[in-house]
Amino acid sequence: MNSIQTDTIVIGGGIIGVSLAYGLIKHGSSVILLDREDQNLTASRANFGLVWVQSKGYGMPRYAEWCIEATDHWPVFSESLEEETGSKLNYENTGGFEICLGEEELAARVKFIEDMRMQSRNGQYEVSMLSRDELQKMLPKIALGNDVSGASFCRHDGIVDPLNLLRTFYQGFQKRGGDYRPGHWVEDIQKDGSGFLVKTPKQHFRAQKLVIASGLATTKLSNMVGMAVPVSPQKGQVLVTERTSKLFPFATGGIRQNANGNFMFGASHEDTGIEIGTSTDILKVLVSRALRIFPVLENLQLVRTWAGLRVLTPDQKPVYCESEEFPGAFAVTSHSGVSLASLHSDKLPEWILEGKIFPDFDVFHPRRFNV
Amino acid sequence: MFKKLPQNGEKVSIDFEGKRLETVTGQTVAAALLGSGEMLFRESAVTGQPRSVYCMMGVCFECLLEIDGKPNQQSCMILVQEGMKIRRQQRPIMENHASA
Repeated sequence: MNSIQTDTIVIGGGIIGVSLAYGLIKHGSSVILLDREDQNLTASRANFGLVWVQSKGYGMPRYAEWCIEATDHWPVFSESLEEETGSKLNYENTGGFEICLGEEELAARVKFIEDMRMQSRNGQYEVSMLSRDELQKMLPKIALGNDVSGASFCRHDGIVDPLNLLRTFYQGFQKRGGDYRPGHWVEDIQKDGSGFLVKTPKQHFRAQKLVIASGLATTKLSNMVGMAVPVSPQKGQVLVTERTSKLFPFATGGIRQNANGNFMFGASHEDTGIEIGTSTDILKVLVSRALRIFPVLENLQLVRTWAGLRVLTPDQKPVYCESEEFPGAFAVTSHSGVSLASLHSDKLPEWILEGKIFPDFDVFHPRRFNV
Repeated sequence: MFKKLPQNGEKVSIDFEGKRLETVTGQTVAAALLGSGEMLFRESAVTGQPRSVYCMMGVCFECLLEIDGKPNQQSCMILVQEGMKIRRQQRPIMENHASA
């Protein structure tokens, strides 16, 4: 079979793969992006679309810093992507709450925030606790339920339309001459001189650099080039309501209002393997929590429910690594593909293409999972 | 506004917002209302702007009405029947402003 030659092959057309592919081409590399079929599983089309910092990095302060760097870069990044493509991402740097019900939850949240501050390497962790009254003052259009006891607030948090983000990356990638190949399941990767030969049933591809950003397939593909990257699925269920007027212009872990007025409620955490069914018992838990926070939402009709699979490493933190056995092959996986999209597209290409080392980047190597 | 083609359905009467309308079977609720000169079907849930029928073929969801107590019905996809009670689709009542 003839092969097609390029500078860099990215395997995986989810939000991480396409943000890297777009960034790589912007940094001067020619790129082929290999993707599976549209109907296959992808967290990128099921997620909640938060640009989220406040709970991330517990036990790994470098990751907390990486998230803050990413969200601080989001306004510049999104403006440039929107300008280049003419598309709207509906990104809003709203700030975000984690809203607590009852005194016990509030106390646990206070402790968590305090721990995060203690772990922080510069002693700064910009999350503050709000009393119920302070929270209500920030939400003049929607009344809190009786059980709401307070909230944590982080100004770095925000929201984006995750489907627009995905589509817009594709626009940007293709506008810059990126070669997008859906329907290409990678079966084999081989060393090929100083580069790599990537085989799919339809075509063979050759490149000097290879980036594996393949969601739940990352473990299998990374193995082919000498990297051990453990990932496993975790199911999250989500609901969306009919549209209503703008009541809640903030991000939270479980409730958001979209640019077009729909409310979304999320998201559960279940270990059910590879399946994306929804179930009434779980959906009920999500809705009742949302209604305890904002009782007036009971007047809205639900429009749709769905589920998706998170891609999680054992400590739920990202993996960034280059193969020691086969230099030039990289693996990238993270549960935070949306939040980190700004750095994945604007910063990681320097690491992949030029070998730039970021401070303490080694903490993201998957050797941390070896016992 | 709309000119009716010759209609040979049965005569029926329906109730729209408390008004009795005479129409015929063999057409959708949306067509029956438009034929009776009713243009305002609902208000946008987000902005309150007036809304009416757009595609007439079940795709755009602009023609939503409350039919016999069931909200959010696509009136361009439902045949008109004797005695139907029809209301404009109501915006969800979210007037619960915080008082704290």
